[in-house]
Amino acid sequence: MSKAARQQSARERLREERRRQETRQRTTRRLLIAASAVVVVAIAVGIGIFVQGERAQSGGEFAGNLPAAKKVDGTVQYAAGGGGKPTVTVIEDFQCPYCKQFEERSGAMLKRLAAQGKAKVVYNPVAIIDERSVRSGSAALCAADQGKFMPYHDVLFAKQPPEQPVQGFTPQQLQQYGDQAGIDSAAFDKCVKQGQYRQTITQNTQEASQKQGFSGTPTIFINGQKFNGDIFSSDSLKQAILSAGNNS
Amino acid sequence: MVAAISRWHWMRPWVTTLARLVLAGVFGYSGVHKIVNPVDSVVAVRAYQILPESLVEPVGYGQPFLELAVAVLLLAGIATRLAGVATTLLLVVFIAAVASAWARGMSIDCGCFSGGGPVDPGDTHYLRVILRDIGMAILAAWVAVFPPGRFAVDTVLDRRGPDTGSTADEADEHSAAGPDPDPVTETEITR
Repeated sequence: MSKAARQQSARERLREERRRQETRQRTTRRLLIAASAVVVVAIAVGIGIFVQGERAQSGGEFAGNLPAAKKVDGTVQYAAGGGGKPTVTVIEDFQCPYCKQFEERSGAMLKRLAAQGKAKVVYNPVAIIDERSVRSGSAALCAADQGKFMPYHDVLFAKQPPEQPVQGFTPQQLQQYGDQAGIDSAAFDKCVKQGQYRQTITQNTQEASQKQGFSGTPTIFINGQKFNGDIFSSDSLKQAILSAGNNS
Repeated sequence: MVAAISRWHWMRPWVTTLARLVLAGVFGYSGVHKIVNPVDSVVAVRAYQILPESLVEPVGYGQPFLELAVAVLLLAGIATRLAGVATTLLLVVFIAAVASAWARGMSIDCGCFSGGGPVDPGDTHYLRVILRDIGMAILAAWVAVFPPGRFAVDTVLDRRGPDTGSTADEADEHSAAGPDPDPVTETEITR
């Protein structure tokens, strides 16, 4: 081999070696990028879960004190302070999935407005789904007699059975849910067992169905006017209530 | 034959870029919307009745951030192959969930972008949703197989450091935004 040829092959080997090294470096760099991306995304998701959980705590739960409940006919009313505020009527069926959804989104907001004296909130239980609606509605009015409508109301929505198969909201369960809502009363058990307010619920349902704009549950009336906005948007409902308050 | 190959080489990275843009748009929109309305997202997850209640909230809260993160990675072309794989897997999970709801005869909104929860039996759009998700899964798989496409941060990062002796394959792609990763390195990464 001539000297020139030897130099040539040595140079080629050197270049080959350098190329391999660069490929290795590039692979390492890509793996590093991918690993960093995974770590950053994992951290972002973790922080996201935490922050959203905190937000739900502050927005989704109501920690304050509700004004005393007043039972008027078949309804339960919450209002703090004097008059002059918009009346928000919530027509609900404890067996209705949309009502559960409505409660999850706007329940805390309504309680807050009632506690702040910005609205008078009227719960009007009706039965449009089936027999279980009548039973649970009646039991809720029994709870109202014990001054525990709201906690019982919240337990019922939390425990709402699926529409099919027809199980759940049995009379026994309705009594047990009373315990969970902090009701410890033989009168309540008896009231539930006898279905004392079944007639009232049926009457509520009839009256509601005659109201202008009633279209199933949940229906919200603000000062007697049906709320036509997005019923599952807590914000737009709140705006409508507050602006009704400003206009009156 | 040669013309077809060179056209393929010219088009491939652009198709990847287009797929990245489409996926980033869809997931970015969906992620942001669900982050703003976390309750929607939780209601949607719960409606499938697949996860135990203890996991419904973490998944409902966390998954939108995953969607947004994937969208950002795809848009910028960072860790593109990984983002493509993650997006494909995410879509496969979505398709499976919708198919399972359908198979169980449930009437729910897919909760793909917003809403979620029970709907009237006539208002379900399972087939449409599944077909759409399959289409997006194909795009995502394309990104995973042919990353990173044009206009990708990955390309810029690859070029940093000592100039690599370019292979013949890369040479004809140097003309545009940058070289595709050469085949050798690609297989090394997947290994």
